Amino acid sequence: MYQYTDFDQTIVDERVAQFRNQTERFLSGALSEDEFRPLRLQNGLYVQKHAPMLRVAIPYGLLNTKQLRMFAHIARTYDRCYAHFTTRQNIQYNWPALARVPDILADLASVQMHAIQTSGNCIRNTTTDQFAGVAPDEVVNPLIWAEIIRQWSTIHPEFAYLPRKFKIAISGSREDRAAILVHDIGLQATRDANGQIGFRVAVGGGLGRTPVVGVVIKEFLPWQHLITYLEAILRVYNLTGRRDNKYKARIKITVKETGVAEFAKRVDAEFARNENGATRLSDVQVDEVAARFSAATYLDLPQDDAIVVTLAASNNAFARWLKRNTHPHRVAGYAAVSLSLKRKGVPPGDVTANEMEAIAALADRYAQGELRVTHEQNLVFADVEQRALPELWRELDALGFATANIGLIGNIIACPGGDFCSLANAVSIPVAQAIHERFESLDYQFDIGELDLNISGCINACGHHHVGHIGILGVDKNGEEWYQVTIGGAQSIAQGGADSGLAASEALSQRTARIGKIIGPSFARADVPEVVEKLIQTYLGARERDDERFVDVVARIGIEPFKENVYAETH
Amino acid sequence: MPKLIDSHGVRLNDPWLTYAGDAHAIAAGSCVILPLTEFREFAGTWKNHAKAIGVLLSPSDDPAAIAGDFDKLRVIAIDFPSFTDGRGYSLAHQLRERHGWTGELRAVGDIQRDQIDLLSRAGFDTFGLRDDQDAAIALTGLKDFSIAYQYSAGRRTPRVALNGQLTR
Repeated sequence: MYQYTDFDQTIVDERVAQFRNQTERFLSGALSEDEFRPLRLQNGLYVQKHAPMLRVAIPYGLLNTKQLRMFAHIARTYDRCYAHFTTRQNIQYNWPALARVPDILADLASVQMHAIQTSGNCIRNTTTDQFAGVAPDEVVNPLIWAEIIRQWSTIHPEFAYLPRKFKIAISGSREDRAAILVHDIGLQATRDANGQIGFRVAVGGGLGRTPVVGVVIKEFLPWQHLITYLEAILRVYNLTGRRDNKYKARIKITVKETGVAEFAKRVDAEFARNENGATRLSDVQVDEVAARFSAATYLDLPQDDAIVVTLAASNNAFARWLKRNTHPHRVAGYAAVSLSLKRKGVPPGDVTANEMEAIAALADRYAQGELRVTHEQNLVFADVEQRALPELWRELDALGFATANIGLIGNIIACPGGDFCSLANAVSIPVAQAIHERFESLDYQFDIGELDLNISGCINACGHHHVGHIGILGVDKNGEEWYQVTIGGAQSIAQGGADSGLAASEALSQRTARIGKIIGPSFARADVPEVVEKLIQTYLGARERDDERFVDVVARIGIEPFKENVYAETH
Repeated sequence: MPKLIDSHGVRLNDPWLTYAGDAHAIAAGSCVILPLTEFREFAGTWKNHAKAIGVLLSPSDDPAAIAGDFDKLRVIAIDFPSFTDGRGYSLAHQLRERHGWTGELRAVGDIQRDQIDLLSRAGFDTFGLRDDQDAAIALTGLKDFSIAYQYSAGRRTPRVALNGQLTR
């Protein structure tokens, strides 16, 4: 966990004061709606259906229990006792009053948090792997670099009024758990033959109206140049990105219209002019940031503790939880644990104030007081002693966060949708809940195996439907809610097809994101669970091995067999 | 006349007039800011007519077009047709850092109180406020932040970035 310096604290405090002043001027009529809009957006404040919505940054998804307790306090004091974890590792409050938002921001600042640039046409919260720092397949710890990017991008004078929003994701492991190729900039931290850290840089990825997989424009960027190169990309985009049409304003369109080679050339030219300028990073700067991260402490513990093995052999529920909701750790005797926020009758990602406090108490006891938010809208305890897993499982089970559905169909990603969001064409949460109920049986979920089902209530794709193995998109047809279904999408998959047979060492360069294909005309809301059922049945009939996943089968046989089954006349 | 401010306060008696197509509005011996196309075509004529010359860049202009003419210029102004059009910030960076313009860099157009801090840190040193803006209130915008993570383009003060560390 990064600890603020006085410098960091001063900036956040001064930002609160600035926004308080801006809010007062808006409420007094001195600032017009149009003038205030970008200011409030860059402080996380949307105007939504029922009330303003405040999006609070959780930088790269990392959180301590003091901060989680503050979230609970805010939910209770200023909102309706709950909040929503988002697909961008942020948290949203749906019911704050505008006049009190500066107070909320001041409360956040008291625990080293803020809502800076969580919205608006600027550089947003940089996201990363929820297992950063503990994953066995990690090559470079991305957290330090994510924090450097946070500082650099915070209130950057040149990039506060970009053509459109701008999202950066960074991964430092072999498997990309941060979906970097569907971000405006995707950074893959890696090492050269001499062990020097550098970044493979992809640009122009994104979901939304025009889903695009990012393209690599720099194979290896030495770390000293990270900020200079990011500035070069941002500067070329700021100057040449389209401002005449907001649907064509993202960098993916700039890259497409300019041509990848030409875009890369312009970036290189801009970079070359500033290569040894003021933004070149020094060892001192990086070390200073690294030193502000509190390190986890590890005991000398045996791998696969007997207490865990014994319980798993006798208790099927625990064994399933162990299989789905715990994850390998680079330190022997430790595990990372996912808390599933996908529960029956509760919108994905929603947590009450009481639950936050209960989770904070568990994180203090079992996870060294820290936790992470995942882009799948779950929480992770990154440093848990294996021998404590049985106890933690019982505690989580009692709270309802131990559903063994991580990576399964029950782990649905869904945006807030039409129930809350003024952009949405259709609701998401009731659809997620209907599917959740249909596939409630864990036996069935385990039989189906790994499957990402993602739902977005509109083309802005906050639910990442394009990269769901099954993606569901709410569309508006003459004022009615309909749902378009895509299959075969993936946030990180071996190029050319299935994952099987791919050595871990090869994985890095051969992985890509894939956009799902639309299977055909859209469906009425009530029919969606049945459509998903038919897709699943088609898959189960076609798979050749138990470990051949849904997405692998789609890659192997194409979408036609699925289409035929779904659209076949049943009478 | 638009209100002009800088980090020291309100600048009274700004001598600069902006040429907007009517040459009669610019008396001989004036200080005149010319749009880029006018400067490119008629710099020689204006040099004889005016006391001093500046250039006005629109957001789509390339600063490289005047990089060889800095010795003829006393001010460069960049137009912000809307405060949400952020291209001018990058033009400022290019003028300061790439082309080495050390003279006055002026932001004009839709210039409001809440963008002054960003403009200042991006390299601008004078701000021609939108007509309805209160100069005294706009000046407080320069005091919103005492520090920043980014170095400021074109400043000779120590370059501070990232957590207050001196970059080199």
